Order: sequence, then C-alpha cells, then structure tokens
Amino acid sequence: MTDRDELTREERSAFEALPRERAPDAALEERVVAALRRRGLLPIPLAAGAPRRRLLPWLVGAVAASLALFAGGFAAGQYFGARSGAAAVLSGVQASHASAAEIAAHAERAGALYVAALAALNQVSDSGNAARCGHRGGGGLAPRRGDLRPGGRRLGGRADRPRRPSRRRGAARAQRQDPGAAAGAVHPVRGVVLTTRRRTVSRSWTWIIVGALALAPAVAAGQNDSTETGRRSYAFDAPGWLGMGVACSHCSFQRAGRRASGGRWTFSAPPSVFSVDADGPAEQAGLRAGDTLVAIDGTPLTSQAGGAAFGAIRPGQEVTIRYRREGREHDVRLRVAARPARSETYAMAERLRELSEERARELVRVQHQVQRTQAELERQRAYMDQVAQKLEQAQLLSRLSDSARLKATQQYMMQLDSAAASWRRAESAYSYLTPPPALPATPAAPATAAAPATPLPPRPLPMGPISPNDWRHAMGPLRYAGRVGDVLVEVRGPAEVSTSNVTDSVTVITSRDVSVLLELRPVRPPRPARPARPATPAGPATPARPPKD
Amino acid sequence: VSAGVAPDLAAQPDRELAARVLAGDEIAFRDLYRRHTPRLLQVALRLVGGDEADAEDVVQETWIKAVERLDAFRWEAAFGTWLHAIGLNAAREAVRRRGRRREVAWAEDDEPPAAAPRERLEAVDLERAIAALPAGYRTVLVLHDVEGYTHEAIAERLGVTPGTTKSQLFWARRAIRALLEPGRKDGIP
Repeated sequence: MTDRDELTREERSAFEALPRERAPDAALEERVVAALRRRGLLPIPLAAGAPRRRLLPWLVGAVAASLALFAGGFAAGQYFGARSGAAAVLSGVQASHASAAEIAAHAERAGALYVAALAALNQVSDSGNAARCGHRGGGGLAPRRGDLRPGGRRLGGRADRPRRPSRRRGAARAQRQDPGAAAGAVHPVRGVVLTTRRRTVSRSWTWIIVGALALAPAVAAGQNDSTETGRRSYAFDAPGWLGMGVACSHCSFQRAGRRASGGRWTFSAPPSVFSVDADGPAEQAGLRAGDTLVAIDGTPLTSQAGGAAFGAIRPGQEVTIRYRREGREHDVRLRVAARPARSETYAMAERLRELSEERARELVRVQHQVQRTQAELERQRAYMDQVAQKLEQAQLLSRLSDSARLKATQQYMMQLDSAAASWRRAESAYSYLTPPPALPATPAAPATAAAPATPLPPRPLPMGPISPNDWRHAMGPLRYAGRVGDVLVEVRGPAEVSTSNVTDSVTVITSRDVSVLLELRPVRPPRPARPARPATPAGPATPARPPKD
Repeated sequence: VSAGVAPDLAAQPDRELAARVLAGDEIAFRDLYRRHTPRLLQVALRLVGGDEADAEDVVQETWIKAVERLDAFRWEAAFGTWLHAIGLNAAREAVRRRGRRREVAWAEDDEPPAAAPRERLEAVDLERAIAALPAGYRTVLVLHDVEGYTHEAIAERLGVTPGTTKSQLFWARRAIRALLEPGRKDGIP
C-alpha cells in the first residue's frame, strides 16, 4: 500500500467533521414502539387499547337495544293500530245493530250510486260547470231524495243526490243550478285506496268508490231504498220534519250536539223552498217550490232567534211560517211531523256518521294495509310460479332427446318469428307519420280520394268505403295494436287509450269517451232457411245449407 | 431530553434500562431509544446510501432485533456497540435487498481513476460521495474512516479477513477521491 492509501489531514478532518448523530423523527419512535408491541416485546398499555376493546361491545349492545326498542315499538304500534282499526269496525257494527256484511252491502250500493253520480257529473261538468251544492234539508227539515223533481216520490240513485250537511262545513253557498251541480258537493277524496270487489268497475273508478265508502254516511243519507223494514229507535232525538227542501245562499247550519239532529240555522238572506215532499206538512199547508220563507212564528228567519227556532222544531210542534209568493206575504200554519220511517240504509248511514273521522281513517288504513299485504303475497306467488315454470322447462329440456330438443328450439324460434312479425306489423302501422302513398283513383271511393289532401279530417270520418291506410292516416297515433284470436285490432286516436286483454278472446279498449269490447265467438252456421219462406228455384236441392249470396 | 421529567432516568446506565425494558417498561425503552437512536440513525443513513426511508426501516429493524435478543446480551461490550453491530447487519440486509434493483457494483479489477487529494472537503460533498459509493466500499469506508473501527473489528463484523477490508478501503478511498474530483462533481448522483 502506498502513502496514497492513507487519508490526508484534510480528508481525515473532513471525515471527522461529519455529523455523528441525526435527530430521528418523532414518528419513528412511535413506529418502533408500535412494532415492538405488535411483536409482544412491549406490553400494550391499558390506556390506549382497553377502552377501544371495551367500548365496542357497549356500542354494539346499545345499537342492538335501540333497534330492539324500535322494532318493539313498531310492532306494538302495528298491533294497537290493527286493534283500534278492528275496534272501529266493531263499534260501527255494534252501534248500528247490523252485521258487517250488511254495512258492506249498503256501502257498496252507495258506492255504485256514487259512481253513477260522478259519471253524470263528468258529463255535466264538461262545460266547466263545477258549481257547489246548496245545503238542503238537515236540521228541522228532512233531507229530501230526488229533490230536483218537485213533487216526485223518492227518486233514488240520481246523480244529483244531495249530501247531508256536514257539521264541519261553515257557510255554504247554495245555487240552484242544473242537476249536475248537485253532485259537485262531493267531498274531495282523501287519497285513500280501498279494496273493492266490484270487478266491473275499472281501476280509475276504484278510488272514487273508496271515497264513497269513506263517505258512505253522507252518501247513503240521500239514498232511496224501497225496502223499508220497519223502524228502529235511534239514540238521537227524533227530528222535526216539514217535508220540504230549502235553498239558501250564504247560510250555515250548526248542529246542536253530537247526537242531536236539531241545530241552529244562520240565514243571511231569506231561504226559498226548493222542493216539497209529497204528503209532507209543507205540501199540506200549500207551500210550493219557489216560495220564499220569511219568518217563523213571527221571527224573521234571517235573525239569530229565527234561525235557531227554525233549526229546533220538533214533531208535534205547530209553527207559523210566513212566506212570500209573487210579491205577497202569507202566513201558513204547519204541524211539524216526525220524520218518516227511515230505511235501513239511512239508519246505518246515521250510525256510520257517528263514527268519528279518525275511526273512519283508521278503518281505511287497516283495509289498505290488508290490500297491500295481499298484493305482496300475490307478487310473491307470481314469482314462485315463474321460477317453478322455468325450472320445469329446464327439466323438460334436459330430459328431451337431441331431436326433441331441436324441435322445441325450432318451435321457440317460430314463436319469436311470429312475435317479430306482429311487431313489424305494428311498426308499419305508424305509416301515418309519412305521407300515405297516393291511392289509385278508384271510382268506388270518391270520398277517400280526397282524404290525402287534408292531413287530418275532423272526426267522425265520413261514412262510406274507406281503405285501412286512409283510416290509419286520418285517425292519428297508434294506441294499441294486438289481436283477439286471429283478428287484428288497431286502436288510433288523439286521446289516450287503455286496453286490457280480459281473456284470449276478449279485449276491452277504453278511451275518454268510449269503451269498446271486442269478443271473439265461434261463428255459428246460419240457420237453414225456413220452409215457410218461398223457396228459391234451387231451394229443394239444398234446404239445410246456408243461403249463398 | 427534558431534565425536569426524569433527571435520574437520563443518568441511569443502559443495563438498568434494559432490565426494565425486559420487564415490559415502555418508558424505559423510550429512554433507551432516545439515547441511542440519533447515532444509530446517522450510521444507518450513511450505510444505506442516504435514503431516509431505508434508514428508518433499518433503525426499526435494529431495535426490534435488539429487544428480541436483549435477554441474551451478556453486557461484555457496550450497549451502543452491540446495537450498532445489529444495525450494521440490518443495513447490509436492506442494501442487499435494495441493491438487486438499484445498484451495480463496480468490478474489482475496474480501477477507478486516481485523483489528487483535495484541499478542502465540504461535508455535504463528502456525504454525497459516500452515498454514491458502491455498497461494499461504502460499508468499509464508513466503518473505518467515519466511525473509527479497526480493520480487525470490521472484518469480524463482516465475516471477512482484515486483508479484504484493507483492500476494499483502498479502493473505496480511490473511488471517493474520484467522486470528489471537481470535474466529476456533477456526475455524482
């Protein structure tokens, strides 16, 4: 080794000047300690590890406990909710001393009538005439049925059934208008859905029926029935009855109490007689529709005392009514009668009305729940069916021989082809989007020859021969394309159309104004010509055959 | 070191602290750690060639092994020496592991160019030159010229003969002089 091996003094001092220590990062110390702990070389301190380990079970326990509490509360709520719902039903049943089935039947009948009323309303209110109904009857006056035909006897089931005045309603505006207006008094439906067994009623009506059920008391009050099956004693006072309906403007009626039928009227203007019941006290006294009632027993009806007296009449009481007819005032003495025997329906309606609104809601909710559960069950069943079918199919396929499997596949392909073909057909039916091809001018169809010139002729189309293409073009968007049996069905029109295949041979197409039922039936051979008919020259040869044209 | 917290702890010999570490005393370990780690880290940093992360890994590995073998330590040497021996092995292991992918050792017969000794050496340049050395040269140079170990001690630690370390030191010095040559300065990575 040469002297160059040794370090020079400079070099040596440089090496010695190098730092000997380096401050480690604080994180390194923690890292080392943690590594030692992981290896068990240092104990894990209680302060750091234990709380975490002990906190976790507590946390889990707390979460589990709160969950259990929630679930328990929920279950309890469900239980008591169901019970109170049942109680509501029961009390309703017991209160009216009728079976639940009876109530249901009546309610359903009321619902049907209600639907009819709404249908009528629908027609009437097309003109935008959504007037409200005046309060008639109630209080001292018996609610009338079929008011709109004065003198008529109980015209039940009319579209214009009046509602019993609601206690909760404040001032009501009465207008005597066309029959449809009366149905405008329908309560807004509260958005509840009830199950209904009326299959014939389409879905869109369902909720209206529900509304009818919920409002059964109000609806049934005005319902006529021909089966008066005797009296029942009711808890509330027997109301007085004058046998007339009045119409008033800016008037209100407040019931005296929950069970009382009497109450207090407030008239801001003298009411007028709207209708008179046959054989009622009013008719016997000579009152007529159109008379204006001014005072009762000398007290103006517009006064507070007069309104109270008018609402508090009782059977057997004699009252003097002052009315105005053709500008002249007359006094007439009336003997207040008892309200004629009510029908079962009316009694039940009265009873049902006694149920508080909360109870009715409870009832609806319970039924709703039942319906939802049923729907869920149905869905599950359908799913199971589907799975079972698939399974079956797979098993079937696996059992088949190769040739059979091929055949099955071919069948399936054919089905697909057929589906594709019908789809293409439906697609081509959209040809109205493009201008229709120029039709060959045929002398047989002069009307249709002009059709392409006008893009959309007004409905209805002129009668006469019309080609399918022309029709398609004229009637607008395709709404439905399908088949009933082997018959192709196409539905077009500007309005929304809903269709339902009831069975393979029955399809119902419903639009706003019209509902069409298409039913495929096997064609029966026409009857043989009767012998009585004058026989054709060739007749005797083929008597049993259908006549040929 | 905070004198107010444990003035007696700082004065305690390594052996007492080690005994307490064996008994599971974390505070004793931290004290021991703080006493020896700065020097250990510096050596490790030089041995691995200036990579901080590698150096920290070496320190951690060293302490783990030290605590693991603490009960087998017979206290014939100083704790620091023993610790540094462990650190040396850990560093060599780290370099070996890393070196497979990053460094190509100079061939023994590939003589680096000799350069005139410099008049003045900047510490930063020297550190960079040391870091740029091949791992084997660097180890011997650091242990001999920086840490002041004898060739015998180094040979024992590395499991080679003293002749080998002397030879390596010779080549290491030549290499470092070449690296510190002004013209080559920029070549230092």
